[in-house]
Amino acid sequence: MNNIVEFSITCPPETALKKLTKANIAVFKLKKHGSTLTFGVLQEYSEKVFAIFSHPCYNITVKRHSAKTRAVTFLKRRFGLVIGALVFTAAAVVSGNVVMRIKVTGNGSYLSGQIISIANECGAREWSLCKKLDAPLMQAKILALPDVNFCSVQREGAYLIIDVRTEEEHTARVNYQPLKADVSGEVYRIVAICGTAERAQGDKVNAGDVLIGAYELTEEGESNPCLAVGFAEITASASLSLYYDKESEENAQKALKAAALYSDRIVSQSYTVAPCDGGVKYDVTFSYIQTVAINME
Amino acid sequence: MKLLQQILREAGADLDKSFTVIPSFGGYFKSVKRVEDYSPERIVLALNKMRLTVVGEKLIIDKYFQQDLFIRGNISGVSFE
Repeated sequence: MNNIVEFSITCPPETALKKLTKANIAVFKLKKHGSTLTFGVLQEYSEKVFAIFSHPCYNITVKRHSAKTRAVTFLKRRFGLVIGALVFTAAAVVSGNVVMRIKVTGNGSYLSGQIISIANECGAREWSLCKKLDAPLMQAKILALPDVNFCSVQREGAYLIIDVRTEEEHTARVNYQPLKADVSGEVYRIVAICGTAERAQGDKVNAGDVLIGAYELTEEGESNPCLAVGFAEITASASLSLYYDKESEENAQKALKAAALYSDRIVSQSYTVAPCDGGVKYDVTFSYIQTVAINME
Repeated sequence: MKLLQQILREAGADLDKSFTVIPSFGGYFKSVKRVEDYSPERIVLALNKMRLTVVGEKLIIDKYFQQDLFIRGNISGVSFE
């Protein structure tokens, strides 16, 4: 029985029992230690016992409080400890569900912006509770990013560590577009390693025209998409004007060299000289070969 | 007290009798008007018309309420006067 208060009293046992019986109080564990008597009564009778043995000669004291009273006293005396324990327990419970920071490690950390966005979509945000983290979904979404070939998501305390590895040796992006002319001119040479050449040598093309399509034609004439791989050389023409103080051979060479800055594959060039505002104007007309390529790196 | 009575009944005690003594355990006494003397070796109980003396070792009045008294300890003898 936990609700028994134990008393110690200096009194003959017969007298104590007589008084307690008269008051209709149940007595438990009555023992005698020399002249001292110990006994227990139910918690609700403890005040009554003090009233019965109120005379100073009995020298009555509580030897042991009931379990409930002891628990309450313990908690009252150690209020700070109890609060600390509660705070610690709450912190321990909450910290397992809190994400304070999301760290992206590995050589795929350059994708951290996209990865953190994916983490947010999957329920993980910095400085917030994260009870329903869907790690498999997060991994699947991260692995769907270009060049990512490994991803692991794990918690280290309040940190969410996302390790992302990308394929280092093949960082060049595959271009799924067709090869288009970037200048207007005449096709000088065209090589289609993969895909279909839509123009032939000698064809006139404008800037933006498709040279190699990203498809292949079957024998039945059906078109199947594929990568366009190849290059084309286009002979294009251009002109530029330069102003000098006088006409001379030296200035003519300078004007022709200026055309060379435009392209390093000059096919032909010519110039005309005309007076202009006290000086001369050199109009240089030249043709050059422009190379365009796709997926050839 | 119900639990105690059940234990005594299981141990073979007859609770309708005035008292029952179980060796090395204790004794259950009914109609105890008062305790006239108590020490760990001797307890004198006043019943209706007689006095009952319980002797033994390490005697403790484990419970006393409404004329029912349970003594725990090693009771070696009970005598009447």
